[in-house]
Amino acid sequence: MTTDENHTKAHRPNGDCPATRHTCALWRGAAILVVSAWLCIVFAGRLQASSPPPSASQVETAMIFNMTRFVEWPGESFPAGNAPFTICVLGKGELAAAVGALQGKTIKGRPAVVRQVSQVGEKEACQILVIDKSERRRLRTVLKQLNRNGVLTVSDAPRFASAGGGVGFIEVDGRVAFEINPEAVRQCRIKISSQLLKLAHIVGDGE
Amino acid sequence: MSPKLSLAARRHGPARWNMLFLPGFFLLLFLVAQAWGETGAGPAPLEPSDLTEMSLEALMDINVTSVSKKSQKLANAAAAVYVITQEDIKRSGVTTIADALRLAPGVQVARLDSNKWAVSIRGFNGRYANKLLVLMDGRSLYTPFFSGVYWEVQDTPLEDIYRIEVIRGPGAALWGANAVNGVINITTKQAESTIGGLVSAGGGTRERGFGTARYGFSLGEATDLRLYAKYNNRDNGVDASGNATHDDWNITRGGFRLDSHPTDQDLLTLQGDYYDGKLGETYTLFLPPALTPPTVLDTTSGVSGGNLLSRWKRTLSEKSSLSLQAYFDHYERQMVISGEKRNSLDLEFQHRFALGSFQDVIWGVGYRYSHDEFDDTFTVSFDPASRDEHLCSAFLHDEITLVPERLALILGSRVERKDYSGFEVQPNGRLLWTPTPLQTVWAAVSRAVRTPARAEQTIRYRQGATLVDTGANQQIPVVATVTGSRDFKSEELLAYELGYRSEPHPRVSFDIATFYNVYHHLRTLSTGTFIPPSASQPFGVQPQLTSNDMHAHAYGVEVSTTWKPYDWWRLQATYSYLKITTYLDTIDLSIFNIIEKGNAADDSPRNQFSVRSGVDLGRQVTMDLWLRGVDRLKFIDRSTIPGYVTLDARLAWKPQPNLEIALVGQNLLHEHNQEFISELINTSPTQVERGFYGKVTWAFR
Repeated sequence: MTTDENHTKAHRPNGDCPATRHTCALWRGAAILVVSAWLCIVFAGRLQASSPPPSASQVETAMIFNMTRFVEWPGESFPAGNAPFTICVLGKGELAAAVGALQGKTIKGRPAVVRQVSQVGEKEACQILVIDKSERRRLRTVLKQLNRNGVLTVSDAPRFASAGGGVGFIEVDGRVAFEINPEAVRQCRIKISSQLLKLAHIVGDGE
Repeated sequence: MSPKLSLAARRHGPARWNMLFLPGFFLLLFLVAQAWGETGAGPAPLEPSDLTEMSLEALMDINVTSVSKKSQKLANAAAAVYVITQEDIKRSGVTTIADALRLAPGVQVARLDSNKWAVSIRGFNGRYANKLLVLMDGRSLYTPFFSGVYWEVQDTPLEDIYRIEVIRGPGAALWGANAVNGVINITTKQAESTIGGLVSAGGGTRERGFGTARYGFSLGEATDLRLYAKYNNRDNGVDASGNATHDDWNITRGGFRLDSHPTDQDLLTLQGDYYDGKLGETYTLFLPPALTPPTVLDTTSGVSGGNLLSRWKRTLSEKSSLSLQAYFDHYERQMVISGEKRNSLDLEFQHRFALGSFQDVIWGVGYRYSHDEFDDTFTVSFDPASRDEHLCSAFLHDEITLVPERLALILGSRVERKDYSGFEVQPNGRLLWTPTPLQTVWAAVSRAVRTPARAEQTIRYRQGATLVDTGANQQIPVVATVTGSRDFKSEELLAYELGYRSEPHPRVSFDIATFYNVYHHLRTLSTGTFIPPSASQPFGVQPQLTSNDMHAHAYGVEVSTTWKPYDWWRLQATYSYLKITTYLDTIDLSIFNIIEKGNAADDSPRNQFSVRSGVDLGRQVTMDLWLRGVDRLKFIDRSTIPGYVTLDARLAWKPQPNLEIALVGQNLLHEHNQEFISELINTSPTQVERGFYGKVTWAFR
């Protein structure tokens, strides 16, 4: 009994092919199918103006911009008629970086200004405070210290809304969705239209 | 040229070309894509204004799953890592962790019967595959009994799994003992991610019935807890003729996980599970007094077990942390051939810190204690029947930045001392080169060791009996007995690996890894001295002693790629090639040694591939197709298990955001096919059948 026996395959019908003739054909068919599909996609992908897929933070930024149409800030939020719409950003992460793209856009008829802040409780008025999920450990501290009057708090940190935040982004099945804590928002004297509430997952404190 | 030879050449010709075609084409395709990506013909980055012009509803429809699964640790970037995400698991329609592992390249998964799997990485597969370390949240799942995993009791709800990292190649230096050919690191979701209720239930042709209920809630500002219970009842398979076999099974499981952040720097985790199940098995036994012919016995085995794990991690600074982990694990198996009870206790401490500005050091110490008790039977017994084992280990791992952002060197080693096998050192060195931000080249040299298992040193397994003529018209039964030897020593591996990873296009990621493994002291069974029949033992005994008389070379390549041609369509493909050549280091050419040699070389398929397509049809419907192929396997008595190509499909509909209805078809291209045959302990293998199941999942707060 030697290893050379392994090579005398005369009694087996298909030699090196995976066993039966039927399976061999399947192997070949599968190989050709896979490779042709691949080739098609390579060419189709190049012909189409294929842009990189948007990141979650880019979609969240666009959502923030869009949401402002459905939110009303209290009158005294804007000191002067031409005062800019201020978006403050806390933390360093993907969302913090992506929100910078809103600089210069027109929100509520005012030019938007994006400002990085290092701690809350600062005197400058913000209409929106975006807290990056890099600050998730500090969330409760931050929310406690913040003078929330007229500030809509938004974050991509997990369970932000149930911790007392205003709008929290979540990922469901590969898509971006958002939770809103209506009580927390109401306490900041901000009004959210029912159209926006319909699209959101409504969440209460501690849920 | 003889007619036989030319005929063979004609048959071999196209088939062999076919095998080279696939890997060759993959390589060509991606070199092309790479070149295109770099000629600046790439698209401009998406302007945020394009997104801001979309309505909220449209924004909520965009699929943002990324193409690259960036490794978080530098150590992982310098290794062949494949990450299976929760979404991969869900959309593939798999119902067990073992089947989910088919998604990764380089992993051999074969289903022996309805309740048994053979899983290995880079070869040496078998039900008792022993070259793999599997961790669940840091708890080791391999049993010191045979250094392998009982996959049927690793029944964690798939909805609770966060990700499965498949790390091919020796991982002992960082991950732990037994990580010879790879590490499978399974992590479950933190309790804060599973707040609320989740109920899922379903049934089908092979999954007779299953249900999982989970509820998570907060215990305060910084603490969350989830509880779950699940039940699974699975159908039997069929034999080659399509007749029903006796391998149906059911298993009930429950558990919890608690995560707490008492301060910003501390994370405390407590988790535990308990399971109880019944497995149908069919054994071929050689029992006294006649011993032969064998008895084929349909039995029901009982399995149960539980574990409790606690882990404390403190972040000291951005680059330093401490962690302390302790767990207790208990399991029991009652089978007709043996009863086993095992208790294990494991303690582990790790410290990570920065040394100067160029070095990132992790070091740790660990201790594991395992106590077992076996019930001896005629077929399987142990000497001693109960044993305690202590394992002490320490490791050091240093990541050195040679050129910032470009070149890093990783040196590490694990040192361990185990009862009954002595002192082992497992060093490794890795080099990581990042020529451009989107490309990585890595290389590694490692030594890994597989220490002897309880069975290999102490088992007495009466594997089979034959009648032998003694002349004078007399025949005596001779029992071939696999006998564990105290002299059995560790198996050794020296591995050389090289890999390349890139994102040639924002919608494409590509990963290729190659390896050359040299194994020494692999397990064989050497012929012992024949023991003639006696008054107390009226049969002859031919011992086959465990020995280390085989060495082997293995080499291969693993390729994986992800492509998102459109935002709503995701394609993933993997391909693996493996060739193992074994050599005996002894002149003892007994049938047992020939079998061990043949098994090691041929128990794993030469080629494997997998192609998956995931499509989002609007916001409510997803459709997934998974085509995969596994090359043939040659076995013990030269019987061949043919290669197969099969297809799984899943269609899911979400009529409401928190309700999902899924229909899954598995193994669609065959009515039934064989995936494996069990080596050593003879349970009858069954064929994997085509199956369908439906599942409803409902989430609520």
